Amino acid sequence: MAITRALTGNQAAAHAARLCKVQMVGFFPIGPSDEVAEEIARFIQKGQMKATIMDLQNERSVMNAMVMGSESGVRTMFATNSEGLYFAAEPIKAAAVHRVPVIVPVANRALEPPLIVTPDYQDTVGLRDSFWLQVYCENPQDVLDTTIQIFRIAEDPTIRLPAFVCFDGWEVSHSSFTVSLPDQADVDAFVPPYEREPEDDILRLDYREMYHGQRTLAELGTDDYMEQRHHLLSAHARALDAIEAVNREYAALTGRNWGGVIDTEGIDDADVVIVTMGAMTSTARLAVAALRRAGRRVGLVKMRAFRPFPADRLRELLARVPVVVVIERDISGAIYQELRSALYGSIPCPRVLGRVAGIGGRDVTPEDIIHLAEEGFTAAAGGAAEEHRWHFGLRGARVVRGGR
Amino acid sequence: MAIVNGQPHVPEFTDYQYYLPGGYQCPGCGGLMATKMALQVIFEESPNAIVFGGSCGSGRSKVRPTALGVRAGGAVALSAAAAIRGIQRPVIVIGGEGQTFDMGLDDLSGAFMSGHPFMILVMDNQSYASSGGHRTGTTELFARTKMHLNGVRTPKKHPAVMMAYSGARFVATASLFYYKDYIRKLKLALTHMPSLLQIYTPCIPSHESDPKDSANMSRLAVQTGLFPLFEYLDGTFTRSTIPHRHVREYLKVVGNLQHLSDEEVEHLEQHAQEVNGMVDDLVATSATTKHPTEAM
Amino acid sequence: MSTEHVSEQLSDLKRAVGYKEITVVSIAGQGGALATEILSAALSKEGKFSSVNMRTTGERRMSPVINCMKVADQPMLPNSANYDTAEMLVMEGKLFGNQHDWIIQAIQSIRRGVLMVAAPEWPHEVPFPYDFEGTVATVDATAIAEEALPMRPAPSGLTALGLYAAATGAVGLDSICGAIQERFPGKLGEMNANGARMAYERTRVQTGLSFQAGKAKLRMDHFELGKVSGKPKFQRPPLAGASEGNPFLAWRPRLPVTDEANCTCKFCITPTFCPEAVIFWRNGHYVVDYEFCKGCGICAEVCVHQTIQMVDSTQVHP
Repeated sequence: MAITRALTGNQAAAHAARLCKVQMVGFFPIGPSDEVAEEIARFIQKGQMKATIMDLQNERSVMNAMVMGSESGVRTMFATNSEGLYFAAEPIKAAAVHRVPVIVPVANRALEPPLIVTPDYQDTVGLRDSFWLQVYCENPQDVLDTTIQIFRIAEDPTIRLPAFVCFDGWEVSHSSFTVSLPDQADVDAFVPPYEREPEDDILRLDYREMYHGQRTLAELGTDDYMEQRHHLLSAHARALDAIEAVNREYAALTGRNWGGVIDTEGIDDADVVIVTMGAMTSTARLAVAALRRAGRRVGLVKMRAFRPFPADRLRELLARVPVVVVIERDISGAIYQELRSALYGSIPCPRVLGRVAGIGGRDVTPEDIIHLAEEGFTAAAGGAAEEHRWHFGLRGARVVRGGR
Repeated sequence: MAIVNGQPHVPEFTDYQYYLPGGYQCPGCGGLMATKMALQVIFEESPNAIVFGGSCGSGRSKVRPTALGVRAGGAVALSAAAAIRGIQRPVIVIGGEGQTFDMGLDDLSGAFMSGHPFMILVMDNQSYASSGGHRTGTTELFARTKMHLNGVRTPKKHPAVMMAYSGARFVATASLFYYKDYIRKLKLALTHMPSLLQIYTPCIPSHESDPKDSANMSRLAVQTGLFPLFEYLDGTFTRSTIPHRHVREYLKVVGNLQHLSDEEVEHLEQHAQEVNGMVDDLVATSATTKHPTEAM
Repeated sequence: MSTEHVSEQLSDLKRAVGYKEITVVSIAGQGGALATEILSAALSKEGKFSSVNMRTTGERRMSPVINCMKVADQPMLPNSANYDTAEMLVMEGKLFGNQHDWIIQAIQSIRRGVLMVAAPEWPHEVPFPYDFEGTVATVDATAIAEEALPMRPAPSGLTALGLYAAATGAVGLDSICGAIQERFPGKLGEMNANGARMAYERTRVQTGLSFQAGKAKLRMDHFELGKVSGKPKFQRPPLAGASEGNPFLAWRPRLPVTDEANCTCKFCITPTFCPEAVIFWRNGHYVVDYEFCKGCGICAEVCVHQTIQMVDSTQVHP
């Protein structure tokens, strides 16, 4: 019997860990993600979860412990963000190559300097070349459902990749939402136990035998490094299919469909399609509804998977659309670049406008989205519109209390 | 031929089964010597031990942590995972002193704080040997390196003492020449985890020495007091050897310490005496005070 | 326009600028990379341009290193490896039997031209394992380096440049010595320049030689350690020994020999101190596995009665 609670994004991630019976939980203090582990500590104390907390001296140590724990056949999870991710960059780049399904919920936070406690996605987008899977969630229910699905996808023996499950720091991580929790029995059936083949299980290797014969021409390097790295691309291709399939299965189980790699609304007859990612999508849904009521033919694409980048799917869906407006919360402008790259050479091909918004937690309102959509409509009608710009919106919008 | 009581004498410890020769190590590698002895002891005491990691001389194991300087943290992850899965295997990790005591000092500290049992064997060749012989925290005072062409200006640090006060149950220093002491300490480290054993393993290229002097260096460093041998177990410090030579004996066999002025030599001698004074003080105080290592 | 037509153009272009590939194969620690750098400096004194693509197989001493140098009259030089070497300098004769792909490819890259080997053999005795026609030159650069330099092991890289100058005549000995002493002013430069001069004088050159693939006797009978040690485990095929082309065993000027009559200890400590664990006390005999000994000399040093002596390795294990 599914339970309904009011949960924050962090709590939802913690419940997902509990339901998926994570065995080793990494921890290092950093806001806003560390609350996930705090919630898990409470579950453990109440006997609702059995897990070992690995709190080492910094995120680099913890992330390494997660990878080695995962290689030792235990299910691992470590929630961190921004500076913590960058401190852990060395183990992060190794994890995908080690092919371990470490799950890292990230309550995205803007990168310092200066000291900042508001969200944007530059921390995970900046790690897009790490070969980790990256999925972005709209709200705490999405966080719960997507995290459960990601355990299944990442641990798939043909995929075996680590994953970032991303959601806006504070705006989603600390914000309550009505969340429906699936039954433990359903989750047990949905996410099978995590096991490793004996030759990949570092807790079961015979080290005595290994040292007997094996040393050290390893120093001479390997000539198939390039081929080894190429394997990661095939794993990513399989991950795209798995994200779709697992979402469908989960939707059948719970009635909630988050769209696979991409979620769409009203793109079939759209003149302008807005592309967003993360919590901004919820804002965009309202804006799109308003525009539709006003007679505008507008559609919405939510990037659920950013890695692997669903290039083929986007090309399929958007080739015929006259104008696409990308609104993204990272300073790299990565979605804009990668979407244009995916669309290059397709016939027909939309005009793609790029807008960077919400950086450092700058508020993005339905009015902002409507304004940017209107720029799209101007372009669709043959008018002038900037190819790419930063939409600064209204400064200090969240600070005003009374007064003018 | 050695005949003892009418029978050909087969000495102990001549069969190193766990470390086959012909690898990439330089001739005369101290790290290699130390590792072959360690593996023999470890696998004889605990045939099912998990041994991983490595350093320049001790080879690269198939199982490796993901970053430099996180050996100890990796060991506690394995130790914790073994506990989660109900698998009883002692975890031993081998690391160089550069990545353990300098780059990975935070990780080392966290590993001992975690409470999970493990043993870390640190091959101290007093340099970042693999990367060109650059100085680390244990490089000798006045040693010449590529980035300290006039000699290192600060004395080496004492990570063994530091870790005795940072949650380790057993900590010791060792040297290749005193191999029986090393073997004894290996066995203690295996049975009193979490433990740390730091062994001085001369590096021929980093020290700019003749390969044949590896054993001499490991002897003279101890006998001149520049590398004191001691151990710490459950609150008590004990000395292993007493220095009895002037530091100039050691300088003779170390290439990058040949350039010292007379003043520097005397300064180094005084420094060696101070360091040994510190060890004597630790031994004296721990005889009367119990260091709070036991969990309350 | 066909591919062949473009390749012809490429060959013409190379000829027009005097393009030449020089490959230096050495063991890290010998100074092969440094020698390449000095050669480059010497050639630039004579108006040539050069670029080097260095390929290394490991981080430390003892790993094989391949320096692929290209020389021309103009600074338009590719950054790839060498596939058509005109002049090859192999710093250690034992590298011919090597198993690493890159070494094999490097050594196969010369089919005609000038082959120079730092080895005690005469040119016609060089065990070159592939087809080759041209000039061969040798000198025992390692031995000369030990005469010229005090440090051990003595790096023979700069000494071997004397061999290069003598065999090819492509660069003057004075340019080489000049470049050495500019790079290392003072005693070190003098000693190395001296080594290069001695090598230049003692180089033996033979023109018009040819080798054929498969004719070189590279493999000796594998030293079956199992018979002597009584330990079947050591017959497992883990690593190649010296006569199997293990590059880490190619550079060892000396090996230990024991005088058994003088060996009277109740307990021999050399097995404990041998880093490679190649010493066995077996059935009353002291045995060294020369297939794997690196000749470091620690055993001779720690032997209490100086029963073990280090002798020239060619006398012990060919």
